[in-house]
Amino acid sequence: MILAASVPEDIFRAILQGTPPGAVYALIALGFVLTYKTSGVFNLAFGAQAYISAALFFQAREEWEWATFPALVLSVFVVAPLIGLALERLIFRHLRTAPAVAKLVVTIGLTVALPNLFELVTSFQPVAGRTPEGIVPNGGVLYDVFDVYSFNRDELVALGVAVLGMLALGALFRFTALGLQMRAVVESPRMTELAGIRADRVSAFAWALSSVFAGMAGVLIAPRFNTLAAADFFNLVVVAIAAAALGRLVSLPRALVGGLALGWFIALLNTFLPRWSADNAFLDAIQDNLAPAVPFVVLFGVLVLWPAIRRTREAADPLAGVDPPPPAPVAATRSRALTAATRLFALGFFGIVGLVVFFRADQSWLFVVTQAVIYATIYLSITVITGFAGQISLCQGAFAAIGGFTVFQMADRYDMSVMVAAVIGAAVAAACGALLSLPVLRLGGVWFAIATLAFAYFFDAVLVKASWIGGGDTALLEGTRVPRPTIGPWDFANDLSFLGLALAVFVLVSFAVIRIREGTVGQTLRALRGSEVAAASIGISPARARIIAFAVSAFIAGLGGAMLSMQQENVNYTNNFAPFAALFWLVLVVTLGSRTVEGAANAGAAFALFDTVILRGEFLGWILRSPDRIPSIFPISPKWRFVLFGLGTIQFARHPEGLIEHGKRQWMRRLERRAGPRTGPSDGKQEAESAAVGGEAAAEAAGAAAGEGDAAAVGAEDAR
Amino acid sequence: MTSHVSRSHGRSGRGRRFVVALCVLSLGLAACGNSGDDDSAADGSSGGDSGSSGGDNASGDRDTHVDISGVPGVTDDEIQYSIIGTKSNNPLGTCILDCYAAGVEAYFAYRNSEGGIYGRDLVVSETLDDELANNQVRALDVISADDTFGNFNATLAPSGWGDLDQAGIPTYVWGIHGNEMAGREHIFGHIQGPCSGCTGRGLPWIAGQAGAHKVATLGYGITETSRECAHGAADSFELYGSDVDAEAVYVKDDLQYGLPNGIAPEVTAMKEKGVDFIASCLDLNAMKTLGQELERQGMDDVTMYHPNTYDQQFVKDNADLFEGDYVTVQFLPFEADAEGTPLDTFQQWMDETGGELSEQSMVGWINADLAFQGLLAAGPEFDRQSVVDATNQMTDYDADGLINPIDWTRQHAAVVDGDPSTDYAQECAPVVQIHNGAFETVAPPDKPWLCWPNDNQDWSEPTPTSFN
Repeated sequence: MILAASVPEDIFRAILQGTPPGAVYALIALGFVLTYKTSGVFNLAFGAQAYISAALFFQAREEWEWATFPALVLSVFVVAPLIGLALERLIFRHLRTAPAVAKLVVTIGLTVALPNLFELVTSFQPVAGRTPEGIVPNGGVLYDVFDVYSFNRDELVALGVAVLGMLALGALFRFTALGLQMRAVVESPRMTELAGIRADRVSAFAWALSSVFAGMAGVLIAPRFNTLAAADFFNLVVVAIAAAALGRLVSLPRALVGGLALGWFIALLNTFLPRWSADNAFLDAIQDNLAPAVPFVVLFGVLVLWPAIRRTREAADPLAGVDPPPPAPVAATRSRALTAATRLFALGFFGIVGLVVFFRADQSWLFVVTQAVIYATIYLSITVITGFAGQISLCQGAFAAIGGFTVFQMADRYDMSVMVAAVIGAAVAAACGALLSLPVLRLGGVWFAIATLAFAYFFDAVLVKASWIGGGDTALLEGTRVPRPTIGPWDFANDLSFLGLALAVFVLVSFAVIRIREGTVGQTLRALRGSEVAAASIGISPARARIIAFAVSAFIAGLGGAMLSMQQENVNYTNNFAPFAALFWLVLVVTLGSRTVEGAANAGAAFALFDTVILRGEFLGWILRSPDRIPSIFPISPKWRFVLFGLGTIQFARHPEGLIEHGKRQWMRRLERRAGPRTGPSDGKQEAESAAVGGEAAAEAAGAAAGEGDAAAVGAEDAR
Repeated sequence: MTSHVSRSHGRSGRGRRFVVALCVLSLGLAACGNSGDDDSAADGSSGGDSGSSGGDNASGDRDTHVDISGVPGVTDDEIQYSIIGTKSNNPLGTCILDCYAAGVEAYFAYRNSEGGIYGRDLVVSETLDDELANNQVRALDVISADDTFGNFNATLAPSGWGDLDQAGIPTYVWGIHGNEMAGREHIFGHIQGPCSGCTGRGLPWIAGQAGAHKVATLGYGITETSRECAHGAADSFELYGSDVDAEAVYVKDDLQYGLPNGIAPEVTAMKEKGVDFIASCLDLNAMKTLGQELERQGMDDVTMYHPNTYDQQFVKDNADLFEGDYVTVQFLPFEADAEGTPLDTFQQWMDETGGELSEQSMVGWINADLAFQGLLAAGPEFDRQSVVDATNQMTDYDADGLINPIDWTRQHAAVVDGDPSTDYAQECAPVVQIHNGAFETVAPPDKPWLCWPNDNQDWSEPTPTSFN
């Protein structure tokens, strides 16, 4: 073992070296806390906002050759607050009383949409090796105060802004009326209004302020990147959440110290672990496997092991944690004749589509249609955990990857049938899900989501590298290749037959999901969604139901991941299952419908087909009967897919049933209006009856009929 | 010699029993297996002797026009190709698809100016952006359309190469993904699929040239390629370090991609160990971060070896950081003597077609040349398979001196460290050094390749070589 001449000196140096990245984490953590304190929103889109300002500053400086000051004013003091105001006015003002989880989903959608929208509008493209400039001239000039480690100007400015920002924001909250008002608006906008304070204005100011902070953080952080990429900013946010969590999302000083401490801790590990691990197998394993995952391990540890975090209330609303029951599905509330007609139409439509696909589609179409079916299967896992259990899991990609890697390993090592391996992979994923759910069960909705995100990043940073998962040398030589299955006389190497297999799996899983929804577990989960306390008071065990839901969800994701790997004949981890890529899954499902099999199917179709059918103009070409007649604006950039569906999550808080279901409801009501007004309280009665037919709880339907959300609005329209 | 690349292909009896047991237990399936288990079907051979005469057809037949029907992408006056590459969502920010396509187009323009081949022009009829994640979808688009003869493919995520291979389409690729090229006889890289963990004499020799004695090797933890590269570099010094009086004293193979936490502690550790040479397996952006940190900690004089920094503008912009550093190139570098060489032709036609000289454009040019040579070797009555077969009979393809000669009869196999039957005949690389923000060849510009024999792994001084 080699020890440095002076361990204290090494510690001091490591602390200095960890300070610049720590300042970055601190800046983001402060911004995160600021947003949460002033808006009540757990804003995962903070990184996207920071990225936009950083990229715009870069664009103005490098491409448009503006001076620093106007570029800074534009990116941080004009565009950033405008984005904040737009978000507040158009989205979050309407979500003040929405559950925290709903707001979280919206911010996830914005995380996906905003960077792509910015890049489309400004035609921004990252350029390799062109480091963004900082806001001070000659930002690379070094100062070595302690004669141990030097800081450059950009880093000193970032550190200074973090400290000053903490002090200024602390003073704002502590000593000014405005600070008090901002916190009050988060606590209770109605009470604040009663006190004569214009909650809307205060809220708008809060969003503008937090957005300026995001913009400033982005511009200050940018010089650390040699290529600007939105995903890097999101990754920083995930790390910074650990720092913000240390302050329970409300303490600015703790967020600052937490961010710096994280930087120091990582630097200390990187200083001492390599030195001490050479002669110590245990430390060596930590160095090889855990050091890169430290931020995510810290985040997970803070969430799971620190009881205080679980006591952080998401809102002061006395009804917080008591979700109103969701409206019953349209299928359960419309007339039987309409249901029959709809089903007949669907049968005809899918029959024709199926015939076309099976008998006319070429290999490319078969591939995307099969992919749609498989993704629909994976998305059923989100239906279970989000649609039924009301939890947001951000590690479904990891579960799907477990399925894919298991198939790869079993086929490669043991020449096992991939279908058998797929079932094993799904079981392994389910076991991982059940294990993971044990420590995170007690966490609230938002913290549950963040804990799953930490697991996804841990899987990405550590587990994928393990040869018994990611393949190691085998993968290096020939990738993570997976063969297609054979079952008895059927060889699924053929794309058409594999589509048949994928459809069979989807139907089986759909059937199972419907059974779960209508069975004890589904009823239990629904009761828990309504009120966990009330459910517990009648003897329902939240833990058991949630473990089952998470395990089932992981099983489905694992099975879907295995199918996807078989279809692509390769696991293709980075393309298919990386954490940032898998965020889009959630966005799609909640946008289109997280509570039904139909929603998952729509989301699968949107993922695989939207680009080909809509954005590339193939559908239009089909309508126009010639690809040559497709207008020249096609193909439209695939980034629009992320923008449209990302922004689509905005409706989640108001219409958690998803856009398709909401659209169907609107359409049905229009039909009913045309058919003429009913007598008496028939709406409510019929909904209750239909809900019973559909297997929905009567209370749920009664709640829907009682007028929550758009049901009430439509009722009012009916009355008019 | 240490072998880092090993793989068990065995199907043990125990494994089989396990499989059988699971088959019996699972789902009541009557039988189970995997598609392609039949070895004869999985062989993937291209059909053996096609009767093509390899390079014997020479240019005497080049003007012969024979009516061909039923060959996709071949008309009376054109041979059409598609290009798939990464443009959108490229996390590296480098120019890939556009630059690569420029190289292909320039080569086609050059050949077409001479009358094309077999009375037909070479044409790029379709260029598709795989958006990083959609390489397989784009590949299937090409396969389904079936209206192009061959495909050029420059991507960061080659998920579609397997399909193109299975479809029997001659596919010419940016050959950095050894694992996706291995065993696929329709896939031709601009180089043989690289072996990340293999040892070699090049790196120790470069360290010796730099006068270095203490070496550090760095790699990312997130990619197996980068990790193995860091180990391969360290092992190279274990093998040959004594010959150049250098040893690997610091190996770090778990750096986080993009270095979001910087690399300060690692540089401090290297400083404490007296490192004077760094062999990196990092991308160009990380090299800049590393260079900045070295400068900050007063280690400006440490020489770095770059695997991915052959970018003239980038080096010019960061001249101070990289002064004296070494870079290896995969082809005849632009700084070599161009006169009378294919480099001259390349530069001329890139200029004429308005393309910019870049690593990617040269890769496109080399790929296009192999496509052309394959056609030439197949003869005027060609089809996809005959072109593939003819190409796979080439034992000494060097793009007219632009690359280390490839024996396509055997070099589809993954390289196994220490097994010359899977490797190039010679271990060769053109090494350039950075001076005042520009590259200079280390060997004489007329013989810029430094080569070692591969029939043995003994230490020797390299031989400056030209393949022209």
